[in-house]
Amino acid sequence: MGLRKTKLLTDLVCYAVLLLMGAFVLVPLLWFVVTSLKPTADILSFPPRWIPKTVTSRHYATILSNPSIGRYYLNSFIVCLGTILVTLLLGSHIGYAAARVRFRGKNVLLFGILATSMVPAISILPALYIMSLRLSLHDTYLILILVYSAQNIPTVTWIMRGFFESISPELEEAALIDGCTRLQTLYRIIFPLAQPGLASSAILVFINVWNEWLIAQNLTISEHMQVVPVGLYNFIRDIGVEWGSFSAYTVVSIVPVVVLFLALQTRFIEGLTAGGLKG
Amino acid sequence: MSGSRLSSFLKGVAKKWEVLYFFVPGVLVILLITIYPIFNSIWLSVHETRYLRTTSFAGLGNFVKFLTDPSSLRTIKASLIYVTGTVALSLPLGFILAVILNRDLRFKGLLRSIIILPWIMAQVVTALLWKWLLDPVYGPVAYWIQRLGLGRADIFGNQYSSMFALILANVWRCYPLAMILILASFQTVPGELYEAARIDGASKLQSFTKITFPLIRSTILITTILLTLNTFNMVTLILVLTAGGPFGYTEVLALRVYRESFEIWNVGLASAAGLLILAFNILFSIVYISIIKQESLY
Repeated sequence: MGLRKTKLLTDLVCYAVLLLMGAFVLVPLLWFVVTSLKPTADILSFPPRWIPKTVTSRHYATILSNPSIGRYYLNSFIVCLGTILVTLLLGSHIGYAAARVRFRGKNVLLFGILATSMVPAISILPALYIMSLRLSLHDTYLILILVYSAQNIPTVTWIMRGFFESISPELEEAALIDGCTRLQTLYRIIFPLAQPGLASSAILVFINVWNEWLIAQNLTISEHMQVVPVGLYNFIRDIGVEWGSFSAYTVVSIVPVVVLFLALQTRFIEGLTAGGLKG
Repeated sequence: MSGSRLSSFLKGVAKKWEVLYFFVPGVLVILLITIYPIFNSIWLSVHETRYLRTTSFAGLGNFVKFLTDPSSLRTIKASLIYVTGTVALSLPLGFILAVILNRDLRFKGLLRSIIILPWIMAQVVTALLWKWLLDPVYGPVAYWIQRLGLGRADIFGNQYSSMFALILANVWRCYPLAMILILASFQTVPGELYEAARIDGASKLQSFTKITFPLIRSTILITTILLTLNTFNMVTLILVLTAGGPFGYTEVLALRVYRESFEIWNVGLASAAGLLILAFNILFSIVYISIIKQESLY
């Protein structure tokens, strides 16, 4: 009886904390969503109104019919997919060798790779900028994909190593007996089994790249090369904040990551913990 | 017999060219994009520069110039406040939420999703959300403050409230990471340990301090390091939310490096200051990697 009461009380406290945190998370988001649905006159009313008098989809219509915003989306998707392809391919190969192959200096190499993920972008950004100009890669998809890949390969390597280690080597052996070559075994048997790991890596990389601004802002310059966050930033810099269409643009910009996150949440969390914690 | 077959397989894989096949492409990208620019930054940092060209050798001149300038010391101070404030708030918050979400609760999945949401937002977006929420004229927070009789609140016009707003926005963004990592580490603690402790008559508090805490200590350390570095290296959120204002009070070291590079085009000095940031990161990373190395021995 007493125990049950304590449990009930603890549960209540827990729910109270969670509700409070939920409010902390949602208030800034909701205020933006509400703003994006108000007519401009209502946005600039005082006191601020949480429940709009009239709801309008005008700001969304403005944003969605703006061709340059479509272009930003396209750019973001190209860079995200390109980076996912490169990091998954290169990172999973390193991860596989790390899990299966013994050779001298392996640990040094692996921890060296992990250490490079700790190099902050801001420290090397001027040098990267100069390099991109020298290689004539400034303002191209390729430079963004290369830089994002270098940033994300260590994490993907780490995630994939963990996955390959969890797959029993006996499978590879069986395939070898059946006459597969080693690389055939890797590509036909091991990679398909590692799909959860690849999915975790992919969603992690997607979210990182979709949200990145600092590098994209400085390694691209022309209007048609802008990715979504760069477009957002330039919107306020050039036009000043016109909060109606601006909030609509912001809401539209976070839709892909939110959808992906909700759909693949478990994989996302697995990736995040495998990338950050495990040895 | 399967063992010998297996070991001969592994020996085969270990042939040198095969190791190269697996490692070389990824390592090349890292060498080109991460390692080479570090050396280039060192080169730039010991030169006087004009726009993007080096003009003359400066030795440690840029470092001396940067470290003796009172305004750069102020950016270091701002960074320390920003980092300390962020870690001091988001770590306990993440911890408490991890403890709560480790219990059996209804709607746990939904609540967890909501609570993680800020971590997947772009820094640009986070900054804009808070900028608009805290807007001195049209924002609801300023209105609430006014309603409380505290007068008109220009949050970004005051150095203290401006820094606080920055920390708040960053805590909003960062605590889910702490929560996810700590929650994951709770789940690695074997349940039998608690069972055994219960049978031995340990209280809940005791089993927490004697079992859980020692097992998650390294996770807390790792989380602290990740939050510290993430915050210390941050440019975007600050640039968009306060732009370093008012009067440079929220201009942290990383933002200063950004401005020195891409607004003033003082690349030599910027590289020197950027290397100071790198040095700070290396120090923390050594600890981080040594923890991970230890963990991987288990």
